[in-house]
Amino acid sequence: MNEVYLILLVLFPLLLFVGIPIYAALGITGLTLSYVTDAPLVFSTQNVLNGLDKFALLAIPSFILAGNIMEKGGITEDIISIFRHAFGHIPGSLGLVTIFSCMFFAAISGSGPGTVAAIGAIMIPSMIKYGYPPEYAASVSATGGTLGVMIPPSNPLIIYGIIANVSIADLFAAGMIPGLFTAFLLAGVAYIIARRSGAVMDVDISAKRESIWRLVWQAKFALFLPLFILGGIYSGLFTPVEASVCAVVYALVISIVVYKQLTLSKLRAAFENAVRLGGALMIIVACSTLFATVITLERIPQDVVATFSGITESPTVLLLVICAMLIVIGTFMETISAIIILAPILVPLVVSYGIDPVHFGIILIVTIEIAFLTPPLGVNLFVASQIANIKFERVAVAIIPFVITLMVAMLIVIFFPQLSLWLPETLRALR
Amino acid sequence: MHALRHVLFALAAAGLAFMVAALFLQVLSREFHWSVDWTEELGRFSFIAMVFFAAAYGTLTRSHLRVSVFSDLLAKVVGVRAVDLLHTVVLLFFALVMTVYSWFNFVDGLRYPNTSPAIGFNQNHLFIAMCAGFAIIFILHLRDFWILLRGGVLIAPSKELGDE
Repeated sequence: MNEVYLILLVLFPLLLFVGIPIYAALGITGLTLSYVTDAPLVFSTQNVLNGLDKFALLAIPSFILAGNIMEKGGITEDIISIFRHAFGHIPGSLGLVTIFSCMFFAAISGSGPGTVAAIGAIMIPSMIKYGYPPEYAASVSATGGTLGVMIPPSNPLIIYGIIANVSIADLFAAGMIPGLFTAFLLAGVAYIIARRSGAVMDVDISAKRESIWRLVWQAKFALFLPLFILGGIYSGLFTPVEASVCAVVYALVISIVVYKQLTLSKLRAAFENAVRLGGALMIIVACSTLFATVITLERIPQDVVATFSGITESPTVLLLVICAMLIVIGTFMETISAIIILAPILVPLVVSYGIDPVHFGIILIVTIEIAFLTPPLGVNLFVASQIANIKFERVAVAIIPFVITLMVAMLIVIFFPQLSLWLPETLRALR
Repeated sequence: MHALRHVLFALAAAGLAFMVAALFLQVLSREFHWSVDWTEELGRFSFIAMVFFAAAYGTLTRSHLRVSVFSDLLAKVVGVRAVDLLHTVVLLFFALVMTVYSWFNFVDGLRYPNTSPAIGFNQNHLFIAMCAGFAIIFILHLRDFWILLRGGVLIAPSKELGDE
């Protein structure tokens, strides 16, 4: 084993395991690799700044800011009220309301934990109030958060698109059908569990049956937002990056003019969240460029391709092996960090097996999200258990049926590539 | 620290606001056929500067992403202070290297400018934001090191501004 592999396989995991921030672990590994390969450190550190000089990255802090403004501006409550009125008369339906609200919020937020926090903060106390077990309330909300990164716009898909050199608009379109399909699958499971638990048979009395058109009209500004974002991208009105800033401006205007709930202190809190989360993610992207450059120069992806070629020739077996590996790795690592570290190695591998990188992007996202619902990391679980005020372990057990459902969804996405590829191909043909 | 937190937040939030404003102007200028060709560059430069100030802000608020499962277990065995000391020493070293080399890049960039086509801005000036960001990170870890050497413990500040 040469020095490069020793650093990659020993130093890098060691830094991560002792709890060094991921950006620093990537940076230190990159600098050490540069040093041992005699690359000038002045040029190596230039990669950190150059890593940020990618226009598509600008969409990520903007989408985070847009999601935060919507949450603080009262738009989230309007979204929930629509689904509550639509399904609230069905006994045991608050799980359904949570999943569909997450699905809709996902279409304007782009972040998993962000979706759990926004919807869970309203739906978890509400479910507990109506007699649902707290662990059920927390697990449904944590699961709903996974839709946040599958349904476009999605921050992890933007990062993947940059690394894999794939159209972000294609990736967004590819995530739509698997995302909606998974949402309906999860909603069905949530409903069955609620009915079978026997604890939830009372109808949600706060939900009156009203004309659906009247409800849609009441929430027209909230409902128009995903159409505005996605419609703008696919009609060619604006790029995904411009869509993200239009989402910010739209959210600002309707929060101030229509909802009248966005005060200056709430706006500051929205900016604070966006700066904190956006900064934490983007500095990882910056330092990963240093890491990725050395990996590319040392031809690590080519070595990985050669190793796997000797193991199997079947693309399906390869995808299953990768998914099993990703689920293990994803239990320890945050979604975007895992994509940044693994995609530069895995994308050349899957492309060499003839797998479409757009299809692989969706598989990667679904798989890492499954891992994201499992201990020990499981950020969605942490957020949901904090809101429900119950122990993390109780949510970790209650979430098992949803994790199994997501695994079924993952296998369906793997075995039916057209679920991911049909919509982007159709939209490309129309343009 | 309170003042530094406000200054860092103001710098990062201003970068984000400039970026959003510039790119929104880009959409408007295309739709209304205004002659504005500098918006993309301004957006990109604001974003890059924002990231380094936000990274320093993340260090101050201890909100950087990390794999904490194993370090939590390690802390139970060797103690929280020992683990914090290890993190601080490693991060001090990294921040110092990045500060020094981004300064070298800035100085080199003055001699060999890399001018942007629309604004005519020397893009190597952005290394000063990188240098400033990592220098602040270095100072914050130096303060942590001093606290740990004196037998203190590191406490995460409140998550939102105004909660202190």
